[in-house]
Amino acid sequence: MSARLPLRLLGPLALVLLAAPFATLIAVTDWHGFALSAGDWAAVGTSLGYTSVAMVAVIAMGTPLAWWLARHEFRGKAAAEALVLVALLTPPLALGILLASFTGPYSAVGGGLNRLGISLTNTAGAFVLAQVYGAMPYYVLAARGAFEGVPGDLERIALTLGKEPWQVFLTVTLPMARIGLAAALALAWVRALGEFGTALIIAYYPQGIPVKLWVNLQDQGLGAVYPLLWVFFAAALPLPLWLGMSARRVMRP
Amino acid sequence: MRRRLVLAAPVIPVLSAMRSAHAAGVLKVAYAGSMGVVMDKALGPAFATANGVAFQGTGQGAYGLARLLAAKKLQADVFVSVTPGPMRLLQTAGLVKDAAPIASTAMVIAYSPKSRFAPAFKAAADGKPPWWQVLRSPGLRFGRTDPATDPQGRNIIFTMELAELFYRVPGLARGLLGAVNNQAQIFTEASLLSRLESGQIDASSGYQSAVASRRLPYVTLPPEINLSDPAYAAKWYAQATLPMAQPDGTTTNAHPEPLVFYAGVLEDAPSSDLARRFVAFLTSAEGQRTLREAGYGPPKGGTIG
Repeated sequence: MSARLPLRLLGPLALVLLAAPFATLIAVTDWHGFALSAGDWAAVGTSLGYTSVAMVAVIAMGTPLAWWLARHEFRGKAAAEALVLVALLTPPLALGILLASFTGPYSAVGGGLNRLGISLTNTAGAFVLAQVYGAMPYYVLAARGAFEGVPGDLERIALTLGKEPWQVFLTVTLPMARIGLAAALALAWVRALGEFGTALIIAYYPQGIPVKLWVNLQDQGLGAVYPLLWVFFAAALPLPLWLGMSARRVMRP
Repeated sequence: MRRRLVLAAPVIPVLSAMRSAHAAGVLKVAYAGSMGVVMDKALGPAFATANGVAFQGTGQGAYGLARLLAAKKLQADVFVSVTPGPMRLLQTAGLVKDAAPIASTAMVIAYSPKSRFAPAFKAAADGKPPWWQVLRSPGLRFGRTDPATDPQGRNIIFTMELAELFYRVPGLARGLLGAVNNQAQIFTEASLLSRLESGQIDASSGYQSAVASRRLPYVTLPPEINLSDPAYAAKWYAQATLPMAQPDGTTTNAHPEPLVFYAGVLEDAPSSDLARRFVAFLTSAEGQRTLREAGYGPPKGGTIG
């Protein structure tokens, strides 16, 4: 018996295992009576629109943090790493409860924002906040790995050629880390779109797809869950698939 | 060969644990989410110890659970419902025959001990000023659950409508609640109670049993508006009404149902003998004492079936 055989069998076996619940979904969906419930399209709009906003925030804040963790040694780095892990580790429901106390109208932060006319309770801001907290730790971990995969020698050579550090980052580090960064963004996108526990606590409104799935189940039953789930896949999958493919394409100068 | 054995080793205790739990008997109870504390901490463990079985409780919105059970996506031995509605759903589906009342609760106004309005609510609990005048205070933040998904969300609307009639204050319900789907007030129950405990809202609707078991302060309401008594159902509670949009686009009028908890054995219960014993335990002197200590009222009205 070849030693490779178990490996060849285990790969497809894992795929079958992953696919099984979705095969069930095909069988249980009522294809003849396929119809979305009232408010489902609004939930799709909420999810795609505000998740895009959340991704901008995640990239803007997470990329520098990931690069900093990948390229710098400093006192307390272990603590910084632990903090990212704690954010990753916290069950979404618990994170929602903490955020409700942190951003509620009678807290120091929430009260201050309230005086500025900003509320983080059942608002678009609260929805984006839930997603940023849900997705950023995943993005930072993956992006850090991507930056660490870029050989430091290349960056140093570019510096000796007279380039500024920010030019090196833009012309050497970012292009070389692009596959890993695209994977990090895909991970963050998927994670943010699926965010349920935190949103359930701090942003019951506006209702994104995960909360709407739950509302449909409570309100109408399973028949109202499956159609929205299909729409969710159709809406959520293209971006991470496209990111994966386009990042692997040869970059043209 | 040896390596394979090592890989399999961690699986063996897991498998044997699953088998032994099955052999000794497992009682699965699906119950209205508000009963979490009394089911998982008191009634379940007491029954499990006395009968030498394992207790597995699932607490969620009663309608959601009933729909999962009716669609056979969830299997349980006993279903415990708040209000007759979710239980009737299973009776219509042919999954439950008779359901006995085991306890009752009442709508109350819970308030946060950290709220700046807490002294006013405490005074209202002692009789003066009327609780609804405190709720009308400018800047007060009131929370409730979603009337579309949670019976409690509907019940607080009914309570306010009945209060309007009982205290003869026209416009009271609308003034306190705003629109039916007032997004500034509606949270999930988990969110509502954690906001109340952490002082991020001032007051909320609540079931007396759930609020008492969380040790939160509350204002009790008279039986004419607290929805606890089936004796008031036909003549007085029926005056409250809420138009509910149905999935097919039509609208039906919902009316309040008395806040009585019913327990029923499921027809397809894997452990039907245990299930019957558990329902008997709930109505026994010991079960009733446990429920009373957890803040529940006595069973009211008769068996439904």
